[in-house]
Amino acid sequence: MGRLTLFLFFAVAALTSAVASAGDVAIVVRADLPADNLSFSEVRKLFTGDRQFWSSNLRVTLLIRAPAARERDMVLKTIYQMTEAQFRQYWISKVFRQEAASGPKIVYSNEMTAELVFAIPGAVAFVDASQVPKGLKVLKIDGRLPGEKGYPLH
Amino acid sequence: MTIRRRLTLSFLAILALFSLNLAIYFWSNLRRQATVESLRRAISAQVLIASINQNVNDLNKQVSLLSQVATDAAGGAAPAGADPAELSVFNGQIDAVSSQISELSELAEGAARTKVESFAKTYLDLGRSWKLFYSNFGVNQSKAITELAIRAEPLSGKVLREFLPELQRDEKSRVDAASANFYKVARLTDRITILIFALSSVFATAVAYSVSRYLTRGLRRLKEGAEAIGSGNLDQRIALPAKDELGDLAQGFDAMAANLSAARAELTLAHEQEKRKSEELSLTLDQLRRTQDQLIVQQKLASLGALTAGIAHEIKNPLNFVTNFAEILVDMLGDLRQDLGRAAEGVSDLLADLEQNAAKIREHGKRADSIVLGMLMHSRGQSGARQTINLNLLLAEYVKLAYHGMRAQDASFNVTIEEDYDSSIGPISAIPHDLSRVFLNVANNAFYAVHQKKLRAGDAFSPTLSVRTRNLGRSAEIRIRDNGDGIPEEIRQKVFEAFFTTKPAGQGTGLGLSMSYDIVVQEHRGEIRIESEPGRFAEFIITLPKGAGFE
Ligand SMILES: Nc1ncnc2c1ncn2[C@@H]1O[C@H](COP(=O)(O)OP(=O)(O)OP(=O)(O)O)[C@@H](O)[C@H]1O
Ligand SMILES: [Mg+2]
Repeated sequence: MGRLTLFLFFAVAALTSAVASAGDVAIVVRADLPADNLSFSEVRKLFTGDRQFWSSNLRVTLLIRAPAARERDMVLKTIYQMTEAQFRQYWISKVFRQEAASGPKIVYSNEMTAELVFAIPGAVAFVDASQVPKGLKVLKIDGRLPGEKGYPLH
Repeated sequence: MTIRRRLTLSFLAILALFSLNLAIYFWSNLRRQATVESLRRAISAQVLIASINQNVNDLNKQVSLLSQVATDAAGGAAPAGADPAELSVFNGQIDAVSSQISELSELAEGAARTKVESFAKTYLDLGRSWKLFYSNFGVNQSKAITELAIRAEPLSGKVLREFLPELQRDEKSRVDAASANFYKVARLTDRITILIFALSSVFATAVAYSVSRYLTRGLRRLKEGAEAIGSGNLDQRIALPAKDELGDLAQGFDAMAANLSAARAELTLAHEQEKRKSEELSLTLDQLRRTQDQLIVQQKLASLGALTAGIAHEIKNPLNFVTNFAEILVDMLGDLRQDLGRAAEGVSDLLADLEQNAAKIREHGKRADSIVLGMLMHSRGQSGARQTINLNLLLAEYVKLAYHGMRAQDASFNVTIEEDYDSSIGPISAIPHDLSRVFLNVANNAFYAVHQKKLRAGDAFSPTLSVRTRNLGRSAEIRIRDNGDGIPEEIRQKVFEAFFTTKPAGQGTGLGLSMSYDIVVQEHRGEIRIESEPGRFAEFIITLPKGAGFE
């Protein structure tokens, strides 16, 4: 299986992250989310639907870009390690087996991602590290921010 | 209690038991139906919940996967909004679950219902949220997702992970309880039914047994009583204390027995009276016969009397001549002796003999005359003069006379005469002339009897005559007994009839005892009877009243 492929950020508003290395994908959450740093395995659990709650009351809502987005391809490769078809199959069976209450929500743009992350407490999404919307918190993975050396979503 | 009432009561009791059985049966049925109903409701609810669960799950899956599927279908682009038909199908699915929930709410009871109601409310919110999601899907994708993530998913989580499992648990326990209750009730009602049936059987058997026992007992006693009465024991009483038909019957029997007994007693009395009457009648008849016999005898005697009177009259004249001439002869012989003086001794002896013979002729002439006189008197029904006499002397004299008369006929004849006179008798009033004829005849008969026996038996036989008298106070008794052949029973009454004799023709007239009977019974108001044992003895017993002033 190939290593992580970097996707380009969908350029929108003014960049907050000054030192974002091009190609990294950031995991963004609402600023009030009680988490700053996750291990990579925790990230995987989060995105495979194995962890569905942040805390007892706060549900995890996955926001994933529709196919053909760079972020999606990157995440499929690095986190899911699945092809597009495997990914689809994975979620359908997960929902049907009732292992997950709901599947990931499909978003079609960075703006929509930002809007929904702001709107939904517990939402978690990917954006190009260079285009992280203002006001969102970027989670560290294994203590590293996007652009830092060893950041897995590269 | 009457049998009818007893039977009616038994019947009613059994009917009541029967009704109880029926009631228990219906009650059991109702109880079972109730439990079946609650079981049915519980099962329906369970099925309904399963269906609701399934439907909600389906909806949830549909909603969860919709955005993915729609995006895939759109080839990665944002999907178009749902068309109105799809929307209405989706909304219809949601509403169908709503109506299932309200159906469930109707099936639920008590605490379960409030639970269902809060579930319904939650589901209403969920449905609304889903509808909102769907109507915004493809139109305002962000709003749709936000709605889904913020409202629908927590609600559906709550519905699928809290409400429905809880309701399922509740309904399962309800079904378990209902089915347990169903079996419990079934067992209970079965037991009660069997118990009541057994009790009914026992009671019915007891009633049947007691009634039949009572009846057979009573009937047996009646039968025994009836048999006893039937076999003639009229004193038998059944005396059943029961105040019912059996008791009445027993009373009837007893009354019948009493009546029969009384009737029998009456009959016996009547029979005895009849018997006494017939005895009296036969006594009267006997008397009548005797009177008739006497009448016949008297009639015979009367005709004999007339005959005797004629004969006596004819004999009396010549007897007078004999007597008179014998007297004259005695006188003449006396004169002749005086005339002759004491000249010739031999003539004198001859004269003396002549004189003696003439005197004898005179004496016997006189006697014959007196006999004829007696015959005349007898025939005329007159009796001689009553005098005071010494019975013993008179008897002894005439017994001796008879003996000498017998000896005159057969000089070789000897009889031992035993005499036993009771001197305490004293004087009695009697007609000695007639009485002497009685003694003479009875003694003559006795001597004749022993003489006849002597002639036949020879030396082996010693003739004996026993003469006894006895003082009986008011009367005197004379017994003259010989050891001759006796008088057979069959002729014992006939001997007193006139002209009855067993002597050879020319020897007896058969008048002796007839005359004696008249003299003793009619003249002296005495009795004459015979005791005899044929071949051994004959005894004539004469009882004479002493007469007024001699007792
Ligand atoms: N002592 C006696 N023993 C047996 N028979 C007797 C005796 N006395 C009377 N009789 C019977 O009674 C009969 C009648 O007696 P009764 O004196 O009347 O008549 P008689 O003796 O036969 O005749 P009569 O007296 O005229 O000579 C007798 O013929 C005799 O058969
Ligand atoms: Mg005689």
